[in-house]
Amino acid sequence: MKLNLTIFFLFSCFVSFGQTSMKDIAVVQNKTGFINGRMKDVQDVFLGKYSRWPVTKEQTTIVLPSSKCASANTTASVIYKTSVKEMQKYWLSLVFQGRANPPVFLDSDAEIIAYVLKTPGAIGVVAAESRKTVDNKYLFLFVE
Amino acid sequence: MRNFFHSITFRFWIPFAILPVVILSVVAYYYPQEQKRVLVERKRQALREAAQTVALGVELSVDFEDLNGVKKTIEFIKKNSDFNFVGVIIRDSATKTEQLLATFPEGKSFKEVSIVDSSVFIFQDFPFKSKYFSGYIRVAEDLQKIDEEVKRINKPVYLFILISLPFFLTLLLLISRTLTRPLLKLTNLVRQSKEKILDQTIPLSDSKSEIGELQNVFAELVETIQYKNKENVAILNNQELLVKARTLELEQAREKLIISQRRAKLGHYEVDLSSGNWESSQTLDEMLGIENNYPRSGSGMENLIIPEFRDEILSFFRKDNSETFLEKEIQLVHQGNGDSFWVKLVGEKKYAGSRNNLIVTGIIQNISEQKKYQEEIQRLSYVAEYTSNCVIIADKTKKIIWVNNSLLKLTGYQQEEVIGNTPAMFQFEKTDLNTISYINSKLANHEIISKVEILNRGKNGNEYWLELNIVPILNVKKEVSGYIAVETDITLRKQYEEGLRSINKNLEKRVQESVDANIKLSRAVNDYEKMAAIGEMAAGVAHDLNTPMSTIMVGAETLQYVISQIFEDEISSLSNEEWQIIRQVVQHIKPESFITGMQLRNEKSEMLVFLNQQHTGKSEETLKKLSDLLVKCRLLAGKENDLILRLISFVHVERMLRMIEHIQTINTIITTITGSVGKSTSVIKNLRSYIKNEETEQWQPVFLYENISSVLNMFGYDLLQSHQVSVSIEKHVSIEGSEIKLFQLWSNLIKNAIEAMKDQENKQLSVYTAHKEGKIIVSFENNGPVIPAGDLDKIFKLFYSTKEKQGGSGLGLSIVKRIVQEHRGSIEVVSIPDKTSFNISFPSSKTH
Repeated sequence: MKLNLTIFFLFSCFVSFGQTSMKDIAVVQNKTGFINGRMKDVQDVFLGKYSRWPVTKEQTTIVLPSSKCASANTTASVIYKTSVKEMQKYWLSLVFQGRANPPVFLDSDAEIIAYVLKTPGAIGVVAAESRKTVDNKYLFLFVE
Repeated sequence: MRNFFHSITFRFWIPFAILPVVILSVVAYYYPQEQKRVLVERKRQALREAAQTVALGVELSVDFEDLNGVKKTIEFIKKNSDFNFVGVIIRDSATKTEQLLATFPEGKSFKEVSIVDSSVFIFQDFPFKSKYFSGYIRVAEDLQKIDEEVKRINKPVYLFILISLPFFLTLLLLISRTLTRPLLKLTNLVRQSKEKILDQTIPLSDSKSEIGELQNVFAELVETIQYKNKENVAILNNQELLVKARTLELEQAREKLIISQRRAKLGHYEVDLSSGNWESSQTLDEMLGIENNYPRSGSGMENLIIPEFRDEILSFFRKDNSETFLEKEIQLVHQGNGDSFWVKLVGEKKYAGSRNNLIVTGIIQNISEQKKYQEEIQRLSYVAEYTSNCVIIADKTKKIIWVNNSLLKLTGYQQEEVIGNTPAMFQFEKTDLNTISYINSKLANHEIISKVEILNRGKNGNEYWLELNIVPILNVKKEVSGYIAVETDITLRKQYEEGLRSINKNLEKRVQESVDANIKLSRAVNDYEKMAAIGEMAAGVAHDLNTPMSTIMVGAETLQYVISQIFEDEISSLSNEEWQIIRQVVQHIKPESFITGMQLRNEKSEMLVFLNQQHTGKSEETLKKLSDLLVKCRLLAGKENDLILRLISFVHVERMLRMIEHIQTINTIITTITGSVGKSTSVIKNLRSYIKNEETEQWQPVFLYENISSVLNMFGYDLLQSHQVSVSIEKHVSIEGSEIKLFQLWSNLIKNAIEAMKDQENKQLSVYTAHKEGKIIVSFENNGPVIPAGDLDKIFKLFYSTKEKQGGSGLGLSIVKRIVQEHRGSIEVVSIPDKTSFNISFPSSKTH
C-alpha cells in the first residue's frame, strides 16, 4: 500500500512540477524494439514494469546514473520525479520483492552510453548534452 | 534407605506399579514442550542470522549501488532458511516514523509486519544503516511449523506409552490378584481376631503358596495366643483382687495419715527452686486457709509470711543460697481470716531427678498453742520470780528445789544454802507445833493448804509471820511429785492487828452508845408514822366530804340566782292559762342530764327551720331567740311539735319559756343537791364501817354513761358556762364496781381537769370510752398545761400536789389510783402540748 502511494506520489510530481523536462535528458537504448517512445511507456520501462522487451523478447537492462554521476539528480527528477535517494529506495524495494532485475548504476554518462552500446536490450538515461558525444543517432530514443 | 524399603509393605505395590505410568505420562507431557522450547530457540537463532544476512546485503547493495547484492541475499536465505516473510522497515530519524519498504514474499502490510502476533509467529530483527537510509530487517516464521516438527519428532514416544500402559495395568492386576488381595485378606483376619479379643480363629488354608503357609502359621499363632490369653485372664483376675485390696489399704492409710497430720497440725510442702513454684498437702492448705486455685508461686509464698520473717525465709528458698537445711519458728498469715499464727518450718534442699532440679521439701507444724503455753509459762515464771510473795517449789520428799528472790530477801539465805533442805529449816522454837502438825497431816492426805499462818525465823535471827498456801503437784497417776508453796509476809499485818484490837474496844463502847440513842429515835419515828396514818385518813374523809359539799354549795348559790331571775321576770303578769301550760311542760319534759355544745347548735338550727315553716309572722331575730329558749327547755322540733305550736301562740311566749327554763334548772339543782347529800351520808357511813371494820360497799354493775353523766351534771353549770365539752360514752357499757367510789373517781378527775385549765382561754374537755384487747378504756382529755415529765411519776403519790398554793391537798390523784386499783384497773397519763389525757382501763364486764 505504502509502495503504491509512493508511486502515485512520483507520478503526480512528474505531471505537476516539471521544472526540469525531457529536454534536459536523453534516453539511450540498444535493441529494445522502441523507435519512438511515448513518455508514459518510457517511464513504465524505468519503473521496472517490464523484465523483457515486448517486441524483441530481449531481457531488459535498466542503466541509471549512480549518485556520483553528474546527471543523477536530473534523471531522478525527470524520470522519477523525486530525489536520488528515493529512486534508490524504489529500486531496492522492487529488487527485494523480486519484481524486477536490479538496474545497473554507473558513475558517468560516458560509462552509461558505453554500457548500453555493448549491451543489447539495455536502456539508460544521460544528460541532454551527452547526446553530442555520440555519432549513432539511432542509439537515442525520441520521446514524444 | 534400607529402613525405608523395609517399611514398604505389600500394599505399596500398587503405587509402585502406577509410578512408571505416571512418570511416562509426565514425560510425554513435558518433553515435547521442552523440545519445542529448544527448537524455538534454535529457530530464533536461525532467523536472526537470516535477518543479519539480509541487513548486510541491503547495507552493501545500497552503499555500493549494486542491487544485485540484495537479489543474491534474498536468493541465499531463500535457499538456506525457512521463514514466513522477510520485511524491510525504514526508520525516518527526522520524524521518528517507520515505513515498510518491502517484504519478501510481497503482499504483507505494514501492520502485519510491525505488529507481529507472538502466539502465531516467531521473529527476529536486525538493524541496518546505509548511506541513504537506515532501519531494520525483520524475519518471521510460523510457530505452527515448529509444533508440527515437535509432533513429528515425538510420534515414537507416544506410540511407546500407548503400548506400555496396558502392559503396566495388566501387571498391576496380576500383582493385586496374586499378592495384595490374599495378604489383605489375611491381615483382616488377623485384625478381626485382635478386635474380637481372640474369639475368632483363622481358618487353615489349602493353598500351598507362601501366603497359604503364612495363613496357617498365623492360625497356629492365634490358637497359642488364645490359650495364653485365658491363662493371663485368670492371673489378671487374681492380681486385680490383690490390687483392689492393696488400694483399699492404701486409701485407709492415707486417710489415717491425713487425720493424724490434721491432729498434729502438720503439713507437708515441696518447692521447686528453679521455677519458684510449690506444692502443699491438704493439711497445709487447711492450716494456711488457701484454696486449690491459690497462686503457688513466689508471690503466693511471700503473702503467707509476715514481713518480719519474710526476707530471711525467702532467701533460703533462693537457688543461689548455699544453706541446705532450715529449721525455724516463724509467723504465717492465715489467708482466710488474716490472723497470724506461729509455725515451725523445717526445710531441706535436695536434687530431684537431675543435678539441675533443686527442690526443698519439708514440713510446717502449727505451734500456736505451744507458743501460747510457752508464753503463759514464761509469764507465770516471771510472776513467780518477781512477785513480792515468797515461792518455794519442793520435790515429793519436801526438799526444796527452787525458791524465788523474795524468799531469799526475806530469809537472808543464799539460793545454794536453801536448795536441798526442807522448809523446816525456817522453823524455830517459837513456831507453833500445832500448825506444823496440821500442815503435815494435810500434806499426807494430798490436800491443799490455804491461809495458814506460821511464825518463822531468818538466817540473821529475824522473826517473821507468813501466810502459807501449799499445793501438792500430782502426776497422771495421782501421785505427789512435788509441792508449790506461796507464802505472804504478814508480819506487818500481825503488828497492825495487835494495834487494831485495842482500837476496837473503844469503838465497841461508842457503838453501844449510839445504839441506845437510835432506839430512842426509832420510838419517836413510830409515833410520827401513826399520826401520819391518822392524818391521811382524816384528809381522805375531808376530801370525800368536800366534793359533795362543794356541789351543795354551788347548787345553793345557783338556786339563789335563779330565784332572783324568776322574780325579775314578773311572774305575776302570767295568766292562769299560761301557768297551766308551763306546769304541763315542766311535768312532761325532763331535761337531759348533759348535752354537748354541738348537739345544742344542731337542735337550735333545726328549731329555727321548724319555726320558719309555721309562718308565725314574727321577726327573724325573735324566732332565733325563741328557738334558743325552746331548745334550752328541751322542747325539740319533731318531738314536741304540738306543745311548741301551742306555746308560740301565746303573747308572753318568751317569758313563759324563761320561766320553764328556771323551773327546770331548780329541779335539776335540787336533784344534784339530794344526790350530793346522799353521797356525803354514804362517806360518813363508810367511815363508820371502816372504823368498825365493816364491808358496807356493795359491788354491782355500774353503767358508765349514767355514772359519768351524773358527775358531769354535778359540775354542769360550771362546765357549760366556760368549757367546750365533748362526751362520747357508749350508753350500755358497764363495769363491776362501787358506784360511789367510781363517782369519786370521775369527780376527782374532772375537778382536776377544770382546775388545770383554770388559766386557759379556750377550755376543752372530752370524755370517751373505747375497747382495747378485751378491756374498757375511759379517757379524760383536757388541753391544760403539760405535766412536766419529772412529775408524771409523782402525781399519784400521797400528799403530792402541784397546787399546794391553791389549796390542793395532794390526795385527789392518790385516791384515783387507789380506786382504780380496787377495781382491778390501771391508769396511765399522757401529757403533750395541748393534750393531757388520763386513760383508765378496766377489765371488761358486760355490754348490755
